[in-house]
Amino acid sequence: MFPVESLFKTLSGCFGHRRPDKPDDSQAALLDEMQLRRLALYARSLPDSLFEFGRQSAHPQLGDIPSCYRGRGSEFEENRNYQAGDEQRMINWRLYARSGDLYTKVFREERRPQVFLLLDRRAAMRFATRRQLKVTLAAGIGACYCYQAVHQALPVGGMLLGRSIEWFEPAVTEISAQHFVQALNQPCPPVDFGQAQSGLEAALQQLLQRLPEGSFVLLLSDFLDLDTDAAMPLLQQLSARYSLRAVQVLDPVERQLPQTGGFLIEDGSAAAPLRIGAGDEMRQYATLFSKEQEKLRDCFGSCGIDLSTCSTEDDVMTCLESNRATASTH
Amino acid sequence: MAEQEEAARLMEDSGLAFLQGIRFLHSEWLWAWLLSVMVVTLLIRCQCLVSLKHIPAVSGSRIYRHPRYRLLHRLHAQEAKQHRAAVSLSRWMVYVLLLACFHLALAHPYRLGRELPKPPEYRDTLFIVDTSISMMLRDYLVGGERIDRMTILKGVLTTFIDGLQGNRIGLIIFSEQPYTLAPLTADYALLKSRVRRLEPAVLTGNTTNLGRALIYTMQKLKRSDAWDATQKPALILITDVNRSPRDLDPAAVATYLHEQGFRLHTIGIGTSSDAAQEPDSRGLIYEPTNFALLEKIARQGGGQFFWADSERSLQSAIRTIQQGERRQGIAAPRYVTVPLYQWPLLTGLVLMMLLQWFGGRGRGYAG
Repeated sequence: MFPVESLFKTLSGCFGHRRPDKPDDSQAALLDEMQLRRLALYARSLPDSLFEFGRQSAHPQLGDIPSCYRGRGSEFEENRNYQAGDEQRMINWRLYARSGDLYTKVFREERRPQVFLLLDRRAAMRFATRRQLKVTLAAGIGACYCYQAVHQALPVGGMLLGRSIEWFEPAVTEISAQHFVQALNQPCPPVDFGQAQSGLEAALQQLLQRLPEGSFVLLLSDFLDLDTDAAMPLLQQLSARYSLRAVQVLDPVERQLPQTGGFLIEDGSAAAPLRIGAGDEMRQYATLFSKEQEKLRDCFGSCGIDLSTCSTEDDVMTCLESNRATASTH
Repeated sequence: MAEQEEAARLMEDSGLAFLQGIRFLHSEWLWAWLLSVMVVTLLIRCQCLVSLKHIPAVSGSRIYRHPRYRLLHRLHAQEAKQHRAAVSLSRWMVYVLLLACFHLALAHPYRLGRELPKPPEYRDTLFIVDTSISMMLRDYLVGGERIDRMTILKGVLTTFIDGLQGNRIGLIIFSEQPYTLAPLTADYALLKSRVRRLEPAVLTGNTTNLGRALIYTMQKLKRSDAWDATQKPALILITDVNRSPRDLDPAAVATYLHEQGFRLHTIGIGTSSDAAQEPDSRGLIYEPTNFALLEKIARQGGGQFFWADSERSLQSAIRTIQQGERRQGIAAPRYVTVPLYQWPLLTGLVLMMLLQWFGGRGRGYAG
């Protein structure tokens, strides 16, 4: 910062109009107590579960935590065609007698699956032009999932992306869930978009290494820095190991630039601001954004991940309803 | 000369008559334009310069942050790539035009306006006037009536001031003590009012101390700005001194003044004999003027001595001195310079404003 600019700021601080009565919103928690309580009630009152674990036969062992029971599990999952090498004692002789074909019985071990949330709290998420910050909406959705996990007595944990990555080990106790919700709800003062931050792909890589197989993973981000081509293999691996759902949080201004035009846009870094005209440029931006979205949707779709989009104009309940509708359509 | 006339004729023929008579104070800036163009060309080739249309507005009130800055940047980069060649050429031309405007302004063009009045023909004149009590003596005869010396002197000085326009005149009065009644000034009204109020033996005492007066004059002249040889004022000592105190030799001071480049003329007031003594001198002892002393002072001071035995002779003495103090040489005519730098500067600024304006209304650009 130039000395003149800093001097001007100092002087304007000394002589400028101050608003002592107005608290600094950026230092307040994202959601207040009342909102959290309302979300908790809503999560518990939902008729269906928010978590949809994938076909359980794909995960004969949900997680790598050793069972306290001996054996391979007693819950029958399905019959499948006999393959060379299968144990003979697992052959379903009754079915063989009926059909004349060999089938092998598949059992699964009963374990409680984990719920894991990845919440993006980086600079781009600390942005909004309507109603609430992107990160506020994401925190609300995350809190709802947490409360329902607690309600269903599922272990819940998560990962917060900011300047660094914060890891919260999944735990079944209500205290640990509350602790995680508090972390979700921490204040998010604005930071420069150009500031050094943790990368989404690095976080996904870490998740792949640390999280037990079979968990339910919810990704809450705007996926701004996700290179769809480079991240495709990683997403496929994640999708193979976990039940994955992605919620993209966007602001209306990101879809469509304001129609007025004639303003400058910067990212807070030293790069020169861009002048935005009116008309043609808006359309081009909207087209480019649609293409980016299409690419992202294709990427997630090809990896078998549900991707739903939320807008900061909507409240948490509306977003969850639309997400459930999207998930049921898929 | 013939070439200049030919050039002027060509300008008139081509309708560029208004360019005639334009001169440049710092014409080196015109040559520096070529250098600037070369530097700008090099910078544009190296992609080190942004187009002027891309320079953001000074006011930051309309700058917003957007998380999709990179997307916008990419959009602009694509456009910029498509039109790079055309943009580079137009950018270069804009820079060349702007640089031409600013270099023209820096060269400080001007035109000669109306002619300034000529400098005064004569040098400045500093009168050193005796106001001792003896100036009350009435030894001048005008129309059969006796007039005192001071009245005659005042009349002549007033006439003299009226006749001098453009010159500066100063007035030092002295008797026992010297006193600056008016410094060198062209405020003739002030001078005349001061002369009108002049009375003998009022301000500075009764007796005459010529040496002290000359020393005082010397000090005053020394204290003034450094005098140019042509600017040094002519000194005219008007006195009726009979004898000066012996502590200071006025002739020695006059010599010193002459060495400093000043010329001291002396004018004797009154008569040199007791014949003109008034029968009733109102209690004053009549003292004739010491012409020998005044002549000596004038000689040592590099000037001339005059005896003002009448009002006319006093007037002619002053005229003679003035003619002798005419400035040497004919000064070149001087003109008011009319600066023209504001026009190229204004053109450049308007051009920049238009670029910003139309640049802002059209497509955006990446920095």
